[in-house]
Amino acid sequence: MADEVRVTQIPVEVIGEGDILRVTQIPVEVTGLGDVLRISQIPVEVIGLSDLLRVSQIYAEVLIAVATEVRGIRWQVS
Amino acid sequence: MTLLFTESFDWTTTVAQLLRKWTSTSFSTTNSSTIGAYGATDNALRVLRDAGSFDYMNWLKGLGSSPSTLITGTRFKQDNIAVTSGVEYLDGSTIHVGWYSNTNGSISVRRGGAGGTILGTTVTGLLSSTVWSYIEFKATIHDTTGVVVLKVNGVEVLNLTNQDTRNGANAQVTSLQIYNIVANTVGTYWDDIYICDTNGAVNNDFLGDVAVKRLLPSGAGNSTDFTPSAGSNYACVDEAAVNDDTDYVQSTTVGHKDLYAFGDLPTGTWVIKGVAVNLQAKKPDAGSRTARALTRTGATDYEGGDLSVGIAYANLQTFFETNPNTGVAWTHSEVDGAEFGEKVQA
Repeated sequence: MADEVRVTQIPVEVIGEGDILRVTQIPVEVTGLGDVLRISQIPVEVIGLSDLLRVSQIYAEVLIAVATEVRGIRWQVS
Repeated sequence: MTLLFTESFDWTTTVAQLLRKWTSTSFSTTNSSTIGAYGATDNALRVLRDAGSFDYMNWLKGLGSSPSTLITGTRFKQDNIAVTSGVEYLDGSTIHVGWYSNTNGSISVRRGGAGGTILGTTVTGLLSSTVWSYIEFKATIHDTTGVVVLKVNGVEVLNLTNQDTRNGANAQVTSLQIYNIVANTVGTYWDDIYICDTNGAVNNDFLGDVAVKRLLPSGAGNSTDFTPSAGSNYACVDEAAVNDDTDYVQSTTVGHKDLYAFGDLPTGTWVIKGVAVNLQAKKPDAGSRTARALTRTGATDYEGGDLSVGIAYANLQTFFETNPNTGVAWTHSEVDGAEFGEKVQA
């Protein structure tokens, strides 16, 4: 009973904008008289794939000079 | 170009988001900082102790540079001038100099913090409870030839030369701190903040009494390359208070631009000291991404410097201190007609 399964490569394709990981194919090779192939988990780690720039808000701040308010001037004619 | 920072307090209503633009704040659960309609016509920052007696509540802004001379302007008001507030210039955690309000309405400049050595004090009665004042502070850090100049509402009220303004090893300023002793139910208010140094040809000294007016997108501009989360592009980035991933625009393509028409300045004739374009931007995952802020004026696109984008939202600020199309100060009509936006740089 050859029950050994070797997964030698999992080609993956990342599409879209860095958020989607799609596994398109998992080639496995079962040698001998494999009866059952059970894959319970395929951990995949995606690193360095974010090429997305997301902007949620833009605002401009404009520095404007405030006119000097002159208070308390009292004219006196003599 | 010498503007280092502007703050209108008109782009968010939460302290957590405000920390995207400020470096840190110190406050306990019994103290509160809130942003609300405390200003004359728009929002301001209020610091208030909502229980107990007195405590400290400071806001720190790192400069990203280390000038020996720094100039700042702040609009300032207290419910009661019986409490002390001020602005401090720091090198790391060392407080070199600062101005501090006094209970008689005068302002003192001290070396070494609020309890430090008094270098000079203005006349009394400059500040009054519930009255806004615009306070500008210039200090040169030096052991023997330090300079301190203080202005209130555009009028020089203190000018000190040959001072020891250096309280630490380095004659430099790396951060500014808004200092508040807050008392129970007595609010202190801040608005219209600018920071600049002495470099460059413009904005290298006091700017005078300035208002920092926030403008928002009002329509599509000349470029619409980004993908909106829903609806039109400009409507995804036009919120008065940033809403993060509720709606946004995004792109993966280097060179993509989004430009937006913006609302106009208030009616009046304004002298423009500069324009800051602020992006609330992020990248959703690890990896390298840089952006640039844009302005379009005179039918030409102009770009700011590279902005590094992190995995969490940050406030990325770019200054166009003069109109890049003319090389001189913006005019009111040029600001009203300008578009602003962003670009995927790399």
